[in-house]
Amino acid sequence: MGQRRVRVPRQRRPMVEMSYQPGRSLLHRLHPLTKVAWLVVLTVTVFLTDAPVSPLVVAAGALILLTTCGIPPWRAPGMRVWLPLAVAILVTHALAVQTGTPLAGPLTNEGVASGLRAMGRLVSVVTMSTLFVLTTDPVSLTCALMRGGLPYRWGFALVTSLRLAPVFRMEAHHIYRAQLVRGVAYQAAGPRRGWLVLRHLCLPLLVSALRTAHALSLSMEGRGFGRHRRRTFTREVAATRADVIAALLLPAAVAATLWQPIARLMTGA
Amino acid sequence: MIRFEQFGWRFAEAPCWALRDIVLTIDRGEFVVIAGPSGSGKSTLAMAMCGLLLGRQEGEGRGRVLVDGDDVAGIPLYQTAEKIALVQQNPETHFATLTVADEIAFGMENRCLDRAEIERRSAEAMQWLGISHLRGRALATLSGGEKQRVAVASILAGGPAVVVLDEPTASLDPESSTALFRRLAVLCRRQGLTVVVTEHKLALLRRLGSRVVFLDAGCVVADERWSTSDDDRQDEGAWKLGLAGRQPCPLSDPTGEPVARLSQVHVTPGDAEILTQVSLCVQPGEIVALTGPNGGGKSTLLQCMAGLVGPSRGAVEVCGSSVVSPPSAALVRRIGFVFQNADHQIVSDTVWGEALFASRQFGVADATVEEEARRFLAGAGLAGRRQDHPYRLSWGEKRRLNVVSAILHRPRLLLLDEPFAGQDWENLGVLLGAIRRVVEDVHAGNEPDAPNSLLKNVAAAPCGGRRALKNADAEGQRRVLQQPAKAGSPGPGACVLVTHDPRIVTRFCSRVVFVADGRIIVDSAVAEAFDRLRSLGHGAYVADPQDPWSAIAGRVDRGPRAILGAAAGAG
Repeated sequence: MGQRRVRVPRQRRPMVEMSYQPGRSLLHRLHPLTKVAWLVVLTVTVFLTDAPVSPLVVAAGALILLTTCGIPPWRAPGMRVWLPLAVAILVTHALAVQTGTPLAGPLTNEGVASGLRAMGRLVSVVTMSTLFVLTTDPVSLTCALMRGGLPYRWGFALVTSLRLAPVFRMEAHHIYRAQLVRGVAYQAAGPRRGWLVLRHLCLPLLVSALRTAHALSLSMEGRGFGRHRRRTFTREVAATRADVIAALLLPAAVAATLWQPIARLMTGA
Repeated sequence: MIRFEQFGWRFAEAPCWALRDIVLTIDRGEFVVIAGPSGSGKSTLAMAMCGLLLGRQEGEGRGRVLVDGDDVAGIPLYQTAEKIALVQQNPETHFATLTVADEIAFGMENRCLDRAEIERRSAEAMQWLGISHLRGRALATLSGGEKQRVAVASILAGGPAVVVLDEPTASLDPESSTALFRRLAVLCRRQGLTVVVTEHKLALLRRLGSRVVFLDAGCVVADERWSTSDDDRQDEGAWKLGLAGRQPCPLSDPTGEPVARLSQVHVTPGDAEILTQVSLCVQPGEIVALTGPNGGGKSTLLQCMAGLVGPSRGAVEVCGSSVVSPPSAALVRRIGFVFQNADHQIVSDTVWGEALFASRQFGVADATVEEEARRFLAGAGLAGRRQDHPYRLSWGEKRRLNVVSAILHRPRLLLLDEPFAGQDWENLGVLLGAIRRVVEDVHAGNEPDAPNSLLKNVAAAPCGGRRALKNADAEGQRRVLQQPAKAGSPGPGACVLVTHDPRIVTRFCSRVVFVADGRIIVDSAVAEAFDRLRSLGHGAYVADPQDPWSAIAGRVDRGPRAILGAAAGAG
């Protein structure tokens, strides 16, 4: 007797989580501070330029880089929210701004340019930030910052936050479930729901967080944390030839993005 | 190396001393096991010897603790920690970084050692603990056993002379627990490391530890070399506690409607599949032991039955109704759930409020239930703590409170995730008796407001549940169980519990379900399951007939004087 074939429903692939995704791409291998420099400088640049196309080009470049890192744009975290929002901003600007030359119907050239600029800025900043988070090991970043002069107590405040954030998220899940199965009606409507969440989720979570922080502080102090003003680091975060090239390319990228204001400045227009 | 001189400690606002007149000396290179009932002061003793009490915790102390001749109260923690270091029960609260290599190097980096030295010591510590292959891994991806070994390695790399481990295997499966203790014993023998372990699982430590110090009510009541003659007295103590000799739960009623049924269940949150094609049927009156390695999917399986995790494929039914996620109010009323972490369930300000929390939520907290709560708290040794905040209880006491809170509303399906962690045999007897009675009582058709008290025999006796368990009339119980359910009664009940202790399985459960890698590997009656597990190379999950704990527990039952007398006699 032939076995009955079970039809397995095709599952939608989940979104990538907004946290560091280990990999060996070029971006993964760049020094964290090189990526910080690119992120900060290009973010400022897309807000300085008034050319509608430049932020879109930056956004397109970031999306291509995202794909080279093995993450298709439609699986990038938050992209299903950001892209419709960006389109909504484009439409709103295009319809609201009525100055300039009419194109078709209520649309004018200045309205469309304003919409494209706003959309480009939003998409480029979000995509670049996503790219940075997905390809930068937070511990390497902190280590690089500490080696660069950031006091190590501050640096470890960041590292322990990164370490504990998923722990607390998991704790919140567990507490929510533990109370749900004991009859706490989280689905209640209105202010009662807020009270239930505060009383039966937030307070136990806060207590748990304080206990965890206390235990962690004992563990860290017991291993000599804070004993000396400085400490050594075994983790190597070295700059490579790729970082030198990236650093050299940054001014060129800025110039390309700001070509319109620069040209106006040069011509005195 | 470590000397307690008439040391005592009382936590702020606590009614009694947690430790009293402790006189104890631990020499270099010893492997000392600190044992004792839940709440006897083991963890407090561990904290005291690591310098974590005096001057750092709110409380009152007397006497001294000397480490290498220095009073720990007078020296900074980091200085004490260079000689004596504590590995906490939960490795999650130990880690300060995100990767194995960073974590092991953390302490040495703080002490400004140079890179070559850190690399050398890290490699050595990882080799000792057998975790060299984990070097590049993120901590979040490790199993419970691996995390615990990384925590120990991160301490050992700093080069302390003494390592203190506070119930390091509370949440570990038997294989991981055995592996950890064996590594420590080898270090003790070869490197001269002094190891102090607070632990309930004495069976695992029998051939590894050199000495056992037994605490009761904050006092050292026995301090003796490990003797193999203890093995001959197996089960003596357990008999006294009314556990040994009990037949496996005979309650299964295969003709009845299953209390819970899982059909071809898959659970796939994200990319990883946690449960694969799991089918399980829990019959009325059954007490099913869910066992297997850490990370195998046991907790997810329990949560799936409670509707807390939705299956991606397959179906789950409880009491004939389909389970959806999140669970309906009707479903949660039928379920009593105890989570793995005792703190996750605690939301009330008092022990009394916490015990009655679920019953109040379900609107069944009447005078009968309150009376039962009062009796059970007395049986569980919590009668005097009713107005205390639950967070002031020890871990074992919190677990008992969790169980009380989960059973008082008379659920039909009890789902218990490692409810016995941190329990000594004595309190274990109380818990097992209560769980069994819930299943039996519901099986007999008693409704929550019925006059037939749930815990009438457990706690009505002058000495609470312990004596009642000893006097339990097995034949009488069986008669009650064979009674048909009353018309309109909630129907027969069942219990599925996660445990790593084969002794509990042998004496208490009717069936074993072994889960590994998200699949059910073995599902059969206890004896048959143990045979299969042995043949599959999972001998650590099978009951060991040579168990010295029960012999020691037997002496505790006769009181501290008997123990001291036995110790003197042995001397």
